[in-house]
Amino acid sequence: MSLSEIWDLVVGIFYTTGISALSWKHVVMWGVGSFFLYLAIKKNFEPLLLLPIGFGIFLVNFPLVPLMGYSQGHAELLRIFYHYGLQWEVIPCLIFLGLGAMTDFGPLIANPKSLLVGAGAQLGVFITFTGTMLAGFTLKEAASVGIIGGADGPTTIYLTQALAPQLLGANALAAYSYMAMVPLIQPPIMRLLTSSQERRIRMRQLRPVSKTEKILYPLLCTGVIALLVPAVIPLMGMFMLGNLMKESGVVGRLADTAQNALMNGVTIILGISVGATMSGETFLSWRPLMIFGLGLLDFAVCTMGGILTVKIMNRFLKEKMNPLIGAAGVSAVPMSARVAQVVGQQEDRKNHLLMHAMGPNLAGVIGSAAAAGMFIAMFK
Amino acid sequence: MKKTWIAFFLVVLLALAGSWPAGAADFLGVPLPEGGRKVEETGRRLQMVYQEPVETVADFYRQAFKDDDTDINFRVKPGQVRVEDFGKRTWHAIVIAKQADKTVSVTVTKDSYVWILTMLVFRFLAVFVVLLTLFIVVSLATAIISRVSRRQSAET
Repeated sequence: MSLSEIWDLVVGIFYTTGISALSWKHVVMWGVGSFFLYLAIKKNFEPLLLLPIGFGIFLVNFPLVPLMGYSQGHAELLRIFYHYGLQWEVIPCLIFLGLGAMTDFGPLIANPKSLLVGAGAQLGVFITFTGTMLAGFTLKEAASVGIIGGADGPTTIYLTQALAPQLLGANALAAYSYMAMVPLIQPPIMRLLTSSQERRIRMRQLRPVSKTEKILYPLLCTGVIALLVPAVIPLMGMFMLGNLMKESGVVGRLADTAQNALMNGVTIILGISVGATMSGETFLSWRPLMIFGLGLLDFAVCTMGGILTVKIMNRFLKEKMNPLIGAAGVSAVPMSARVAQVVGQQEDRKNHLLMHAMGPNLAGVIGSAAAAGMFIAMFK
Repeated sequence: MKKTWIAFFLVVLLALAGSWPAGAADFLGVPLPEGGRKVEETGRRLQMVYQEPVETVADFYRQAFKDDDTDINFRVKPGQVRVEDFGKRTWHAIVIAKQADKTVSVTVTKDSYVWILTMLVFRFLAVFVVLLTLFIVVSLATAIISRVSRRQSAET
């Protein structure tokens, strides 16, 4: 064997390694992935999602890794997860099934007025739509960015996959990051829009809700949503099925599986699939930065919308509502309800708003799904 | 030499003319099928009338946009096909509708912020309508349930 043949052999081996195809984009994306891993591990920001997403970003940004492409006509591992989980819109619906099995609609049923707060808190979705459009995105992209303010991860993923799959990674990251940052984003806005006197408003304790009402609620909600916004029924139908399984009490094993084993398994696949969509080639542009900026505006306006809706409702109500609970209309269950409780207690330590804020919080889930349904019906 | 240049320019002109569809007209970049009668034209709107069936005209547009249909939706309703653009084209919609006199009207409207903003306001209000309906339904249901349970407890 001659020296040049040995050299060719070495060069051939070198070209099968990732080092040969490494570019600066890969290195930058390692940094992006590591940043979200840092947020998840060190700062405990939505770790259940940001950890697999961060690792997914890290994983796919190595050259020649057989993860998101096709080898010999067959889809590779993460491509399979992405195709069957996200492109087929299965995972967001399964997540909603699990969420439904974890949700207690008692506070919403006890105070159904809070449903309107969930609608008011969608203001940011529509305002951000306009901003996104003016920033040069298409209408479908604007709708998918706007829904970030609804603070509902699965809904954001569902709508983005349906209308603008090219923005999936950035939108999902923005949604989950801002959901984790609700305790930082909301309090200044809440203080700005309410007086000290308003923050001290005490609300009457919620009435107990019977089991019959809790069983009836998912059926009624499914009926109303299916009739008025059928486009979003895959999500809401699964949500209400999960809730019915929980409230009926007759399928304990199924409810337990939906809220634990199934939810955990699906969350892993969701996180890594979303992360896997973010290769340097597609992610490194001005658009994700715009999406992050617009997402922040979205959250802020949605928070304002919820608070202002309560303030408007208070003009007509005999028993006033504390406007702080309006901020919980941006779903982000239960984080934003907790924020309302904390900000309320800073004014009056004996004012317990948590359960009152859970109503708008759950209404926000339905409201953001309704807004998503409106967009799907329009653009798809 | 001069004649050669003239001949060359003539050939180029003929080639360019050949590549341009004969008789093709458009409004805001929307191609128009031949043989129509113009009913109305403003800077924002054009209405044409054709003696063709709705499906024939719709097929003309399906063919016209087949290579670039990412942001174009065809919504088919009885007697009407609505072509909508959600991309960055200068037109927003082409409505192909059957008329009472068996003719087909094709209406092209210009894209504008007015319809987008109006649509957003209506959709936002629609979210309120959905949740307001749910509020009414839930309130009614809980009122009925509490009345029934009160009656039952009074009987026992």
